[in-house]
Amino acid sequence: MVEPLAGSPIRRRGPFREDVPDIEGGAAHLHLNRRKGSIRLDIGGSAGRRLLEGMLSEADVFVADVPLQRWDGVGIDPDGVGVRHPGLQVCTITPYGREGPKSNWLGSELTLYAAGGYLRIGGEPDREPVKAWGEQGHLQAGLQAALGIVSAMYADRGGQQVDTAIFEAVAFLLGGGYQHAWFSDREPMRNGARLVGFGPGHLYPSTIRPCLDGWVHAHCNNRYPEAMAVLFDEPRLAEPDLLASLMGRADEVDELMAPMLMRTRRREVVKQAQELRIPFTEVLAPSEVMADADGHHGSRDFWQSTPHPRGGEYRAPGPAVRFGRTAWAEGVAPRLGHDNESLGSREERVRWRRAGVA
Amino acid sequence: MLPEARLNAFGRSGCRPLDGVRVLDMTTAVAGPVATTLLGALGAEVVRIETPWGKPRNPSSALPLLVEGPDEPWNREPRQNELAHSKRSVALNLTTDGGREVFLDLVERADVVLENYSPRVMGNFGLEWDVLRRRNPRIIHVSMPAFGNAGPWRDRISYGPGIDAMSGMSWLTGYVDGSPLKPGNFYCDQNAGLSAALSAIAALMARGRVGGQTVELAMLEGELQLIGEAMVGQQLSGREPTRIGNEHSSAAPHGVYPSAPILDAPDSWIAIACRDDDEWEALLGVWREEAVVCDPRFRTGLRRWRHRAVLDRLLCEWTPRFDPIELSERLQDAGVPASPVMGARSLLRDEQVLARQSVGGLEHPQLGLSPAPQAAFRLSETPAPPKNAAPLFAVDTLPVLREILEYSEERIAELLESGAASDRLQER
Repeated sequence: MVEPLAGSPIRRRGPFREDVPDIEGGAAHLHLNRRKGSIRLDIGGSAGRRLLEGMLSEADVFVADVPLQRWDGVGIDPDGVGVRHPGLQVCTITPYGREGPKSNWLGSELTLYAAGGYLRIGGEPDREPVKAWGEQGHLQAGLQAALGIVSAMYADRGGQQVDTAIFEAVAFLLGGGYQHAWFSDREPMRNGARLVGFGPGHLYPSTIRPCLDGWVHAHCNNRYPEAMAVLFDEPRLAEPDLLASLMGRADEVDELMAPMLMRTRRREVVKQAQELRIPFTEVLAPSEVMADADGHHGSRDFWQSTPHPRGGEYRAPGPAVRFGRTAWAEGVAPRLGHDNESLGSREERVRWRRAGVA
Repeated sequence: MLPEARLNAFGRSGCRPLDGVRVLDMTTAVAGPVATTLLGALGAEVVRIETPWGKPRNPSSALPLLVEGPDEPWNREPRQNELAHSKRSVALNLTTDGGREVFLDLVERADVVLENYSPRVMGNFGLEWDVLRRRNPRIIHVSMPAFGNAGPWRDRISYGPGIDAMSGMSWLTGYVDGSPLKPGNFYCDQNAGLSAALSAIAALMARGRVGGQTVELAMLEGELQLIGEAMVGQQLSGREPTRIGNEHSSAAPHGVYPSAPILDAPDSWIAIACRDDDEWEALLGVWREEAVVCDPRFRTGLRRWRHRAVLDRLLCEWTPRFDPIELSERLQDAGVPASPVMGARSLLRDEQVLARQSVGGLEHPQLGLSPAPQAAFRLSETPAPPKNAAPLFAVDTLPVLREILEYSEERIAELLESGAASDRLQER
């Protein structure tokens, strides 16, 4: 990470330990900046930019997520960088992409979720649309950018510009929605916890329902929908009329499931369902996921215990992917400027520090 | 006002990043097919292996036949159309020795096998990793089980929305005063598909050093990356994170407000986000509501956040007077992040989508021009938009047997006769 002298804004995002703001200890920084180094550098001036150019000459990839309107102000010039470093993959992540009539529009997670259309399908039909928790639009854009970068590297055609648009990462999620919109000029209405966009003949349930001690995600077995009658000890769930129109009679299905669910705990509902090969799952809170009551994550060595910069440890998600022969790198989030010693000589670093460059 | 929906056909790309890569696509449902459509658009030759009876296709929801041709509803199923573009279609019965042998011959000539079955299925076909590796030491086998290939939940079954529940994502998503909700229709699947495509290319890049390898992407572990911030935050603060709907943790106004209808849809909304004093001042420049400007409850960011319910109520009285597109433009001009709440219909009419061809058209033999979204990045030297519409069922069986495997006509006839391979949909 090449950070401004005050540190990247992500360092200011809480929660913090004991609610004390700390640029080394915010949750977003500790999670999303693992496996990185940190160079603290003012690239607004010519000396800082020269140092950045030196680093770029030894790099494979340059990623900048500064909004397009601020490129000039902070000295970001992707096209120029590409010309000066022809082997470098130059990736920008901006709200609406580098081109087009909205390329100068401002974007936040919420407004980009709206602009990409995915917000519209979230929430109850009689209330305002509601977005997914967190910064999912930005996270998807990050994944898309990573895919673009490795694709450019694999192509082996020299450096490329990788222009990534956050609103487009959200619009990509709509998938089949465009089929209905184009061919029949209609689009699905948000449907609470139920899947949206399917006709009355589609299988149901795929929804979240309350049970004795919380909620379960109820999902029908695609091959044997009549198995639901066994799970709920409710023969009406296997009647041919109902099976022919499960989604169309979703309210009725919910009612038929309710008695058993409301007298049974989550774990027991899921255990019984899975024994029948019906894909029910528990709705877990984050603390319950980490508590890992069945020991699944622990058996896979999933959690990574990481030293907290102020002492003690915290656990964070481990590998997203497990390669048979190549390792998944782990690491801690860096302290601000942790890697500045890799820049120049000791004398130069003293000079740059005095000049407010690095 | 929005113009008519438009769909510009994707252009041909001269050189794509994965040209020369061949992927055997054994995927089902959503997550796996998302991965292989991406790899196909990036230039890989994706050979989709389908059962001769076309199990995943659901003709009951077929799109209308728009151009002359045979009425084959299984070729116009919307999900199939969405998730099979940029691929070829081959029908093999992998439960037969003949079908399995054809598949292994393809493995010898392929770079990647990608599947998202539960862990026991490849073994049931007799196609576990050791078998694949013996036929091709350079093969990369990407598996996408729901919970992983090992661990107490290995044999649990789930689709993407069930993983949303197990990851904490559903628990965190929803209104402040409501129950858990899904983060979208198939959010976990889309995330896993992207991650699998990325991992497959990473393994291809490492192949020169380590040869072929397995790549295991447990959908649950892929999604847990997306809520890691909540998990770390919970440990730091000691508090369980809660559902906050569209609210911001420290800024207001930040929400979704009703607007005048667009596209004759009464369900029309605008999203507005004021994250600091500058954006608040900019909002006031457009809103010009004297009572709001002078209200001491809104004088600082902290006060606005504390009184966000009042602010939201006032905005809900103001925004319905406006077309959300026009109001968004005015707010953007003033310096406020805002956007109409778009949907698939409005996106097909959106000037930015049209300019970037975020959604473009692919010529389908039975549907005519058919829409597909492209990935969110543009590569300057090797552009990679979707390259062909979903193939008709089994249309590539014979070309693949002839051109890739170079089988004799006699052998092909035997395979078709025995049902090990098929060039058309079969009754089961």
